[in-house]
Amino acid sequence: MAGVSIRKVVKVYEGKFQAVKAIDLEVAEDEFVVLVGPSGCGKSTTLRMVAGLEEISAGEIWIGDKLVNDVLPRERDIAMVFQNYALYPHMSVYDNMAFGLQQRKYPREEIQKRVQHAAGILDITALLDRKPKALSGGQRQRVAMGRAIVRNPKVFLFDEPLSNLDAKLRVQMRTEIKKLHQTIATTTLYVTHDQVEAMTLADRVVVMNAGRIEQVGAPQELYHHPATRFVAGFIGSPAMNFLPVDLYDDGGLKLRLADGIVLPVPAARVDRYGPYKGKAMTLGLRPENLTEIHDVERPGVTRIEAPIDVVEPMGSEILLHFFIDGKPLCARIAPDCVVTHGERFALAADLNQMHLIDDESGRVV
Amino acid sequence: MFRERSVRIAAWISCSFLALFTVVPVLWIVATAFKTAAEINAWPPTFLPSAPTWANFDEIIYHTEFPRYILNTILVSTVSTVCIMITSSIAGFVFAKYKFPFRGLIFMVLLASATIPLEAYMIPVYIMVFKLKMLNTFAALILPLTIMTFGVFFMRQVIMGIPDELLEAARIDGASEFWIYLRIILNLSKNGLMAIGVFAFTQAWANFMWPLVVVSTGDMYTTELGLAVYQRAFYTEYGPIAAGAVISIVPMLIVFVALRRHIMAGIATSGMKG
Repeated sequence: MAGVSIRKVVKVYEGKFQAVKAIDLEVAEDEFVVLVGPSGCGKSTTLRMVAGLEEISAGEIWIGDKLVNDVLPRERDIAMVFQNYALYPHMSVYDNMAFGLQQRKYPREEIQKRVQHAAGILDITALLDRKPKALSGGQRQRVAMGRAIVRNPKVFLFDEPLSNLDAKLRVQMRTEIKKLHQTIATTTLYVTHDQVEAMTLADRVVVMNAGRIEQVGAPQELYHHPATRFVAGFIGSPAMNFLPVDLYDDGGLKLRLADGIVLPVPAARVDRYGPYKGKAMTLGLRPENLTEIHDVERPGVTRIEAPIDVVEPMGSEILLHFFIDGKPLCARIAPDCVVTHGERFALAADLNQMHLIDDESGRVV
Repeated sequence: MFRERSVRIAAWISCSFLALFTVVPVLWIVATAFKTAAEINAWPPTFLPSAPTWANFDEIIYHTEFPRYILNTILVSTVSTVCIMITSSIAGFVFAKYKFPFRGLIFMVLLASATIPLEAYMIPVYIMVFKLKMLNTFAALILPLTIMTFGVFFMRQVIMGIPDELLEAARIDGASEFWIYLRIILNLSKNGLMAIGVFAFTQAWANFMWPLVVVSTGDMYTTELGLAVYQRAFYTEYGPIAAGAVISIVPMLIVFVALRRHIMAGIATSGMKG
């Protein structure tokens, strides 16, 4: 097993477009790291550079103690699972899984043993004689993972492996991938644009945007302590609410929204936010921090009222969509609340959980 | 509904007419091959032979060098077809899946060369063959038919349809580029390759102009040249010519019928389907 080290890596396409901008990332041995970000952020390019499928314009990539910049993909001791499975359609499941081992001239008995073992782990033993076209999407994805497992590589690379599956199967396969990593601990780099997938699978999440790494951290850390407005908005579903505010002091530090609503800054945050008085700021508040009013009001919780635009009953909760200052907001309330479209509804904003973003730097204060 | 139906009827009538227009001359030749010389020259002409005879086949098979011409043509066409299948698939693979400087320009030049007719460059190629002392050899007959521009273009289109991920997965799994060509590209483009094979075989089989230029001895004649020999200056022997034409159609017919499914599938995957 081995870790992966990405040092000041740059990817420039055709001398112009910079897809990856001098990123640094250390992936520890057996760690499960997920690269997440919107389309075109450079996450797949980064993964493909680790795989050796894309040349590196500058920087270094190390797998274990070996610099692999100029090493062919087949000599990097990696295995990759692709979005569209990349199973050879003219070969049986067994041959697909055995292919990599045959190429490396493993003895027939060893190949058979490894394929059977991997098929057992993934519950696809009964499918070994079938051709890929006779398999469902989920089964194909399992075979693709089996092909990676049999090689027992130093690093697993996953390039959006669940994107082609329907929502239900995606959740199921997500669990299986996590279980698989717990069974066969191997250094894993996983690319997805789905932040839920990233949060549920990763030991650490790497959020990428426009070719740069915005933040690296454990899922809960990213969720509760986002470093930038981008991360704050990208991680979490529904996304964090953002409202432009004035930070002022009239005997107490307060936030004023454009339509005159005034929110007092919780005492615990006064020292942190004080230096930003008078600067253009944005208030970030997650939907779960905008809830129905409870009987007992706590310090730092402020009441706001707004006409509800859309009500989305989700079963375990109700999502309310409304506007303040012309900005769309989302609140998450208990499933037993009764709200109708157009009704003016009172909500409790828990400012103890607020985030304040400096508009100039885009960083969370 | 009415409009759809009338369009369908019009399409059926025009297609039937075109099919008839194409098939009638072939049927006429087949019928003529079984007629006597008197019936062939009779007026008014008959379509079906009144007393079918094998005499024309007997004449061309047992009393001429025609069987030799057929063997020559089979050899030339088969070798040419295999060469074109290999060169088209390799070049198509390279143009479809590899990035290299001036790829687009080179491909454009290649395509442009397809627009130049054989007659335009026949003389320089003849001089080359002459200087290489290859006149009246199989090499002279085959060499110009080892690369087919359309084949390269066609195979490029077919291979472009194969997902890059399959090749990348194979590279990560340890396969060499030649292995990828052999086991993945050829397997996944075999329908297109068969279609090109049929085109190449037909082209080589029906080639008349080039053999006429580089072959002058009877033992190297192809069927097309052989049939031309029977068109004498003052008297044309229609019967044996028709029999020879029928015999020469058979191999092409066999190839087409055997590979029909692959041809249709190959054209469908090339992105060239109408």
